[in-house]
Amino acid sequence: MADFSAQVYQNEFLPDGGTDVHAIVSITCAGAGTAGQGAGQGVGGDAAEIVIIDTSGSMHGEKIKAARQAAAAAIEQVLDGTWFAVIAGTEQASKVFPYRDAASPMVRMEPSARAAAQETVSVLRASGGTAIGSWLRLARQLFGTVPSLVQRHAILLTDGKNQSESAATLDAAVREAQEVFQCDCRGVGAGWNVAELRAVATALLGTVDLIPRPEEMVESFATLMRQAMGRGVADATLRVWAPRGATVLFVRQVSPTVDDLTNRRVSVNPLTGGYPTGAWGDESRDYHVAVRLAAKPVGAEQLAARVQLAVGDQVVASGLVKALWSDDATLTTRIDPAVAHYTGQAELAEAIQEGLAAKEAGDEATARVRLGRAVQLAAQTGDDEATSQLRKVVDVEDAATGRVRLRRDVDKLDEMALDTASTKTTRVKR
Amino acid sequence: MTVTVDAALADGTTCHACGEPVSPGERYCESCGAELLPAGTSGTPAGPAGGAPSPAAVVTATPDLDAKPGACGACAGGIAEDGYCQVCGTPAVRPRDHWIEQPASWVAAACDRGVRHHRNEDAVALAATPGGTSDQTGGRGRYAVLVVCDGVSSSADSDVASLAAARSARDVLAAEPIDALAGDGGPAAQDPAAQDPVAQDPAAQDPGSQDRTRAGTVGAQVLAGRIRRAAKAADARVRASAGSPPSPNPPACTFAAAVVNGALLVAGWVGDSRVYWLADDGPAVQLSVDDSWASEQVELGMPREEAEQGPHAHKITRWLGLDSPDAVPRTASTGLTAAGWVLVCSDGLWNYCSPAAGLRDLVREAVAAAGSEPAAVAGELVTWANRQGGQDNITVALARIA
Repeated sequence: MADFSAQVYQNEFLPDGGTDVHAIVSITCAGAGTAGQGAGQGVGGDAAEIVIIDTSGSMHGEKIKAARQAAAAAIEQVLDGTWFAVIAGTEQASKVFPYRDAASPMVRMEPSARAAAQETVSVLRASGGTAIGSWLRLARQLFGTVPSLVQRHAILLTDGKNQSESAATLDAAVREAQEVFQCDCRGVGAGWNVAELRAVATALLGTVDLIPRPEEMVESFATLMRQAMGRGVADATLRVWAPRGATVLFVRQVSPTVDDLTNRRVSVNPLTGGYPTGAWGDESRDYHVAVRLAAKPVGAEQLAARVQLAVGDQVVASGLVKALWSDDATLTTRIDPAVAHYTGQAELAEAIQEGLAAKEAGDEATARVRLGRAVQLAAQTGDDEATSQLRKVVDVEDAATGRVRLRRDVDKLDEMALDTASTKTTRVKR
Repeated sequence: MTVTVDAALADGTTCHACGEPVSPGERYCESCGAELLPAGTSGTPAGPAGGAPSPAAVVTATPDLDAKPGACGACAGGIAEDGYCQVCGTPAVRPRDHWIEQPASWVAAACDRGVRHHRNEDAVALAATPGGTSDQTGGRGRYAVLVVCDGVSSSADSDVASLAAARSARDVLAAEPIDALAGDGGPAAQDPAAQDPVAQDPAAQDPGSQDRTRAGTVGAQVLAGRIRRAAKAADARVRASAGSPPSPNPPACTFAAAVVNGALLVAGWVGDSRVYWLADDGPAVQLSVDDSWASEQVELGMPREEAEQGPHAHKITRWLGLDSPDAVPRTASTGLTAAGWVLVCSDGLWNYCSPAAGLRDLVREAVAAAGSEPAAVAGELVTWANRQGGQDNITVALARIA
C-alpha cells in the first residue's frame, strides 16, 4: 500500500483587503511498489506498455541502429505479466509485436515473448514519413483491447516533425488519447519540433526530452521504462476545494516540471475540481495553487483551499491552505520562499519558451527581451543549469538587468536543450 | 459605608464543628479542617440550618467545551473533519472559543475568543440558587458564585489552566452557601449609610466602624475566607497543569470571584480581572483593585486613563500559577441595597470601558438592545467589545439583583 503525505508551504497572512492566497503543496509518495501489482489502493488491475519507434526515412543509418537497441533495452525492463506491444511509426502506424497471428493484439510479457519482441525490433527498417497522430491512435486501439487494464503507458521516439498529417489530425489524436494512456516522448537529433512534441507529452501527462546523440538512446529508454515500471499507483487525481464564492486562479505542477493544470479541471462537486496527475511511483511533486477570496475583516480566518490527492474515490493525502487577515505588515508582506521560488521558475520557463519562439519567428527584439528576462530570473532563482544553457544561446551583458545579445553561432541542439529543459525546475531549498 | 473586609479570625478557643482547641488567628481547624468562625459568631457557616439553602439548592452549569462543533456559524454548512466549514471555509467556532453559561435565570456569562486572538484563554464558571430575584423577597436565600480567570497568553496551555482554575474555584464556593451568616435579607442591606461602597483591602479594615452590622461583617469575613480557599484550589490546578517537569513557561491566569449571598456581595481577585457592582440608579463601583502596573501608577498619582493606555498597562503584578509571587486574593465587599448588576469581567471588556459609571451605562444600553435576560445582556456586551476591536478574549459574567 503506497503511503502519501502532503505538506503546505505558504504565508497565510493577508493584508487588510487582500484577496489572493498562494501556496505550494508538496505531495510525496512512498512504497508505491511496481506497475500492475494492483497496489493502487485497492484498485487492482493490469498494466500495459507500448513502445512506439519512429521508423521514418530520416531515421536511416545510425539513428535506426540506435533505435533498435533502445527499443530492446526498453523491452528488457518490462516486468513479466505486463501487457505490451511495439509500434513502428511512419506516415502510418504498424504493430510489429505481437505478430499478426498472435492470439491477441497485446500479450503479457514473459521470457519467450521478450526474446521474440527483441528479435523483431532488431530488424526495424527506416523508410517513409512521420504521422505521430496515427501512432497514438493505434496505441489507443491496442490498449482498448485489454479490458483488465488500469494503467496504460507508452514511450514514443521520433526524430522529425509531424509532416505526414495535419496539425489538426494530431491534435484530435492527442485529445482521444487523453485520459486513456500516458506517454513520455523523446526526440533524437535536431530535426524535430520541441513545441510540437511537448504538446503531445504534456497532454498525455508525460515528459519530453532531447536525446542529442543516437548512442544515448539506449540508456534513455531503459531509464524511462524502469521509471514506468516503478509506478505502482495506477492513477491519482489532485483535488482542489475552494470556498463558495472563491475563484481558483490556477493549479500548476511546479516540480519536477512545470505543467499548468488549470484548464484540465474536472468537477468533483461544485466546490471541488479534480486535476489529472497520472500514475505515481516513489516520488515527490509540488503544486502551486492560487485562490482568490472575498476579503474579510482584519482578524478573520478562512480556509482558502483543501488540496488533496485522491486515488479512485479515496483521499490519500490532504493539505490545508489558510487565509488570516492581519494589519501587521511584518506578517503580511513576507512571501513564502517556496512560492517565490516556483513563481520565478514558472516565469523562467515561460520566458525561455517565448524567447526561443520569437527567435525562431525572426522577432529578434522580443527574443532579446524574453531571453534577457530568462537570464535575469535564472540568476535570481539560482538556477545554474538554466544559466549555463542560456549562455549558449545569448551573450549576457548584465544578468542583473537582463541585458543580452543574441548569439549568431548557436548550435541548434543547444537551443533545443534549453527549450526542453525549460520546464524542469530546481527544488526549493528548505 | 457598607464595605466590609475580612480580618477577624478565630478567637482562639474551640472549633465550632469538632470542639477541638484551635489557636488564635487560625482560619481552619487543624483537626477537622472546618472553616473557623470569628469570635462571637454562632451557628454553622453552611448547611440547611437556619433556613439557608442546602448545598443541593445551588445549581452549576458545566458545558462540555470539548464537544465537536455542529454547523458553520457563518453559513450553516457542515463542518469537515479538519475543523473548517465544508462550504465557506470559515473555521468552526469551537465551544471553548465562545460559550454562554447560565446556571439560573438571574446569573449568566458569555466567554468569547474576541477578534484578534486565535485561542480563548479566558474562562468563566458560575453557580447560583434558582430564581434569585423574582420569587425571593430581599434576596433571602439568594446565593451566586461568579468566577472569571484570564489566561496569560505568553505561556503554554493557559486556556486549559484558566478553565480548570475557574471551575475548581467555583466548585469550592458552590459547595456550601452560608446564607445564615449574611443575615436575614442581608444586614448590609439594612445599612442606611450605604452610599459610598468603595472596596478596601484587609489591612485597612476597621472593626469598630459604625456603619457595619456585626452579622454583615461576619458574613463577609467568612465569604472572603472561602474565596481565599477557592483561589488556593484554583492556584493548585494552574500549578498542576504546568506539567512534569514543569515547562519553562508555565501556565498562569488571573482570578476574580464574586459571591452574592443574600444582600451581601464579596469580591476576591488576583490580577486584573474585575468585579463591579452597578446599581441601576445608585452607585456604580469597582470593588476590585487591579494587581497591575497601571493600577500601581494610578495609586502613585497618574491619571487612570493615561495609566491604562501606557506601554505596560496590561502587565499584571500578581497571578495564579507556578511562578506566581503571591496568589492570595485581596477581597472587598459591599451591600446589595438596590436593584442592579454584579459584573465580573476580564480586561477584554473593561479595556474598552473602564470606569464603573461608564460600564453601568453600557449595561443599560445592552438591556435596552437585548432585553434584561442576563445571558442576553452578557452576549450583547461581548458583541459590543468585539465591535470595538475585540483585541483580547472577552468574558462577561452577570448576576441580576432585583
